[in-house]
Amino acid sequence: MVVTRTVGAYKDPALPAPLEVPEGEAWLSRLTALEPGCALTLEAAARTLCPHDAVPDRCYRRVVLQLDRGAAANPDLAGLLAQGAAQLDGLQPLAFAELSEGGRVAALRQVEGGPFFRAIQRGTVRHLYDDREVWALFGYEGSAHQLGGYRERGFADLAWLADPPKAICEGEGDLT
Amino acid sequence: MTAAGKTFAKDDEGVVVIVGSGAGGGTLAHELTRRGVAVVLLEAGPHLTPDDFVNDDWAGYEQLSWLDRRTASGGWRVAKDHPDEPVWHCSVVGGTTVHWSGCCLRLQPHELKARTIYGEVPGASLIDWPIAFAELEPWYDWAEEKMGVTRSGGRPGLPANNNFKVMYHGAKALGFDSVTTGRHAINAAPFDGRPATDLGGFTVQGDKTMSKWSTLYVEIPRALATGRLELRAGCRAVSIEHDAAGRANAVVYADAAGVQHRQRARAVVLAANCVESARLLLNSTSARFPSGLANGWGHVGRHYLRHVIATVWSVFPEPVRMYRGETMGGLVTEMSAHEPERGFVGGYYIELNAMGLPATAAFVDPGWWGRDFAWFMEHYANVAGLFMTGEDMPQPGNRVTLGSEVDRFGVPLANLHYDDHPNDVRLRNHGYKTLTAMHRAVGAIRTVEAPPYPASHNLGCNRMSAKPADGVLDGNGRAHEVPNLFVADGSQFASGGACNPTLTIVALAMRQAEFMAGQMAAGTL
Repeated sequence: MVVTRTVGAYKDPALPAPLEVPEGEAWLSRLTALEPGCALTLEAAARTLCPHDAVPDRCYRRVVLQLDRGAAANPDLAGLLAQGAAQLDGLQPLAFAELSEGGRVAALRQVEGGPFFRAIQRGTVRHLYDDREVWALFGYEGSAHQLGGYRERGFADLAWLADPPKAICEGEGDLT
Repeated sequence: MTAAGKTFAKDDEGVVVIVGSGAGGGTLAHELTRRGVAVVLLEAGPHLTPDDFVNDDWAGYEQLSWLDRRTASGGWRVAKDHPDEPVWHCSVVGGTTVHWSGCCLRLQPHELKARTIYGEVPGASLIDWPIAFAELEPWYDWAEEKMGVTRSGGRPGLPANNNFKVMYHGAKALGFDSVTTGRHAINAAPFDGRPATDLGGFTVQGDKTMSKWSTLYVEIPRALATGRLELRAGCRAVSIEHDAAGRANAVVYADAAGVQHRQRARAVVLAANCVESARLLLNSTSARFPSGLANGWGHVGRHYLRHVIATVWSVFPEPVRMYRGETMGGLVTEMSAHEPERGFVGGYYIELNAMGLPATAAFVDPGWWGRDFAWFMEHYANVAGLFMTGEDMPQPGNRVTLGSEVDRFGVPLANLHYDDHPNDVRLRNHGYKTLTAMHRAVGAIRTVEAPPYPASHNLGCNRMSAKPADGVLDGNGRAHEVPNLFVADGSQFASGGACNPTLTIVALAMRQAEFMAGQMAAGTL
């Protein structure tokens, strides 16, 4: 079975462009509130929370840059992320990002239920799946109005089931 | 969009002041002004146009929703998953009719007599509605015609989309012959100067094509055109005042700059969505009403209902692309009957549900993470969704109260407390099993029972009752204790029934307008 199928995916044209993420370590230069070490720990945490092998690093880094923006606007969040990342790094003889996936999962389970975990888990889900690159990989097309919706673009193109009788779909008359 | 068609003085004692411009308030504003009544319509949110809406889950949510903080308590899962936002409604001209998915079902006759038909349910505070179905029926007819509801008035139903095909075959496999694409205030064919839907799938982020009925671009412009409406957007009601005789005579509100004003009123109508209408009454205390306006019997804020809401998301071996087409274009009615032999009173409707990938990730199971969650998300294109909305039991302890913390207008934050009634639990489990069986019958390889998200069917905090001792309002939505104070939103529901509430809110607002205009003509209001 094909798990991912790349499709054309669109952000609403009225929305701002996504954050640019420089390749390599240069992405760390875009941080405004978080320390680089904290950001690398959060990147590893994001990939552990939502582990998609086909999703490139820049998508997870975009999540961290969004968390960084939140931290810049909210000192309480900045403190929570810095302390939580330091705690994750202190759980094992290796830094969190150096742990195997199983080791990272075990470390996250140790902090699950606390406010730091909630912030990074919710934050990762909020931003990773709002990423057009992720949409394209997982088969979500996004904004449709600029293309005229789906009336002429396959709103009923599912072919592995028989079409229901037209009267049942579009017929008139009272419902019981 | 052009705003106010008329300007009224703050000390004009001849205007009806309506708080909230959604299904109740926006409809009432039109129905009153076309009968010659002068109205000031206060809306907390901004006046947007359909061009402002965006096809985007998160940006749409943030643009339209009421985002001021609330608190939550009780055993419901929403208090754990969404403690700061236990309810979901809009703060924008048009209210939640900008966001809604357009489902238009009528309450069933027996649901208006819940206490009589269901009998005594331990722990539940059921009452009958003070209105018989036969009284409501013509107003349903007129509401459906106003809104252009599909599959009524000779109008066609919505076309079947991919997600519906899965639902259809699942329904047939279980013997549910009622399955159709349902009834919606969304144009399947052009109606009332608005086009047919383009099946773009972004109904709940605001319909850019205006194929969906909304007070924003149907009722309110017509009310403005009468020359008898002043719309004040960005104005947040804070409290209601009354005179020495106990009649409401003014609404205090803050404008967009935070400056407080006081609008005199001939009558006041609250249509601010359930929680806010109850919060306003509780915040309007006086020597005469020490526990809140119209709250002498202590029912304001109580008997909060939010329906038994659940979704099942299932992964299929082949693509579904559920996000294409109208969000909730599918309906099965068999389970809506009252069949107590199932182990619970009341019933539920099975409807279609779809979400974009961002919302699916956030709501499929808040807190879910790891490889299993990732597998589910990677199969998003193969996911189909089914939804249930069922009747929940009123309980006096499920309620809106005011907390000690205040918002930027100095009004205490609302706390929402909700505990499931045993009947709710039985009904929910029955529903989950039914939805899951429908998808399994079509070959689902994985089904996920999604918990309820922040409630959008918010009902019952200012309920109607035949006897003043049982509720807040009479059968015309008028406060038992304040003869010129009305409620026009879902908080007036005496019991919740099973179906999506908007059609009933619109029908009640139309009926209420005729009552109010009649009373005014007779010199008694």
